Amino acid sequence: MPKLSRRRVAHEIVALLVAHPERQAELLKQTAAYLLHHKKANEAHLLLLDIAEELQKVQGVVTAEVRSAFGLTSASRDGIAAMLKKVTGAQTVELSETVEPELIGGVVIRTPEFELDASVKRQLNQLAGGIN
Amino acid sequence: MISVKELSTELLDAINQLKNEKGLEKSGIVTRVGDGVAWIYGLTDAGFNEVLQIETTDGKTVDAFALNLMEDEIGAVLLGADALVAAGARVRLSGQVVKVPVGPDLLGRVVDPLGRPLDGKGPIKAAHHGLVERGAPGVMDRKSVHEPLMTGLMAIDALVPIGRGQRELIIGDRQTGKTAIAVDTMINQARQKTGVVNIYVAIGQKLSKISRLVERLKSEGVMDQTIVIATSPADPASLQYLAPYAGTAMAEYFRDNKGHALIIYDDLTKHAVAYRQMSLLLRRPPGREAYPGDVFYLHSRLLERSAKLADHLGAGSLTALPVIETQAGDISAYVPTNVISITDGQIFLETNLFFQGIRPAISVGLSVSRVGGAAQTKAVKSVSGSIKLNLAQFRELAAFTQFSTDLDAATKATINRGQRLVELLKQPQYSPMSVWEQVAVLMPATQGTFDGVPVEKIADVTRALLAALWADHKEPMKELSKGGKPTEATSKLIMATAEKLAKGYEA
Repeated sequence: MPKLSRRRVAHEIVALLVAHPERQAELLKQTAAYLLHHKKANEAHLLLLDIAEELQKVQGVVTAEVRSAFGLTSASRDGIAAMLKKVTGAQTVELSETVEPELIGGVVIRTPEFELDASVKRQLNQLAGGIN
Repeated sequence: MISVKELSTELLDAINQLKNEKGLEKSGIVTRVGDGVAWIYGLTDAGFNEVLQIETTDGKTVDAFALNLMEDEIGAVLLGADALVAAGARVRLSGQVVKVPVGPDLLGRVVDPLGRPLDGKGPIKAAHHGLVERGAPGVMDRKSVHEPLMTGLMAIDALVPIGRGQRELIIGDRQTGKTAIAVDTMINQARQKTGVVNIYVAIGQKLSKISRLVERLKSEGVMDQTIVIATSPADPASLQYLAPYAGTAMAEYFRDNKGHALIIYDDLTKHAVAYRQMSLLLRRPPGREAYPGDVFYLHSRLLERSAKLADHLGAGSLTALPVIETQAGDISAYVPTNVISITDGQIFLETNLFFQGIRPAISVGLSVSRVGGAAQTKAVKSVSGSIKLNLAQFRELAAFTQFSTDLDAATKATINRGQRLVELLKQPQYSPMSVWEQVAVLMPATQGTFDGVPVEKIADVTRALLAALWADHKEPMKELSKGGKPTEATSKLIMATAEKLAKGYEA
């Protein structure tokens, strides 16, 4: 079996998933077998990130992980979604939210490709770095 | 009391501000890290040699630069400790390649390859920054080497002269005086007030050695016109790899601003070894002696940046003295042959000569200067013509010296002259000679004035000659130091003084 790049594999998986959504379970099994065969099981999470990126291109769906110190209001949520749509060109934004008080304030938004770290914690770290 | 509502409004404002996409950065993730190399997922836009910022567990950042750009991952070499970087750490693009502070603010300082001070004299407030990796001047931007760069070492200035903008390799085994030649050359620039700025790049050198060197430069009054870039064997290979390029960037500032700089890479063998380590860890295929395929380009692109610039660019120059350490005199190893072919000549140092007491231990037969002849000071050129020939003839006959009683007169004379010339070219460390001193010593020696003086008294007679000339004829000697061909009157003066003194020392 020729060795393919992870990006190429992700591209093929997404193409098949879009064309045959009913074969999702079978496809995942095949992918697992492929990863095990090539001793790449520990790269599964990277493959998932590549798949997410591909899906974003194909379906116009972007998944974003949002971490905030105090939780998001609906206005903030809409603002984030609007910004991500503009930047990535996606039609749909799926947010997964977590509350992390150690961020002190602000928000961290992560998509497979981009990151926006507008947390107070990072700004304090940058200030501390500047002093040192 | 913190109001959540207030924070929420602020956050919304912040998001509105960020709608112009500022602050949204492409980011990647460290998948593996170790031995100073991090493998990164994502960041498909990263450029070659681009600086990446890796977030550490304590929220600080460690810089790295991207060297392997592959379809699925990036191999980046860390510029800080790899212990601080963990798998899963976020990586951001900096949008720029490695830069270092450059300019006169760095003079007198000891810095690391990123321009961070190591001498405890406070931060460096440089107004300019230079690219560590930069192209060499083009054909039309250059001029042929024509001005001398005096080392103050008679054996070099007379036999293998170096010109400003030249790349002259210093090659030899360990403990043969390679660094000593480089240091003497730096000292001479200060003593003769040539205005040439020195940049000394220590690549993986013992810190004790660097510290001694800096102390010596300070005591000789050279440090004010010197920049020392120091890396020790304890530094990451990435810093050792960057050191010569960073040093060159600092030197280029002077070259490009109508100045003259001298850069010493001590040594490029260790540089190649550091690069080999990085390349092997980046899984690039090993070639001869396990060096990667581009080890020639590693040094050729570095040394090509040393040049004499054309008049329309200010006629500045950057002279390079790269150092290569050989193993048991083997100059046919991979890195030595590469650097020999890149440079414009080499000064070959031999262990036997060193232990015979011939110091600097320069092998006259194997040392060459391919472009320096055009740059040699007229004064020295006028007296050094026959030395090389005399020494070559002497070398051929040297084996017969023990049968001296059975030799014909001509052979005996050649051996005699050769022995005296070899003795004459010995020079103690940290005592570079000015132009007039070199001319005053070489002129009578090549004309046979010292042939009757016993070999062991050659040093005494030359010392006496220099003292006498300086005491009684200061003005003509000062004139001679300007570099012009000696006038007939000056020549007669030197010869008359030498003949008078030589008689007193003859056996």
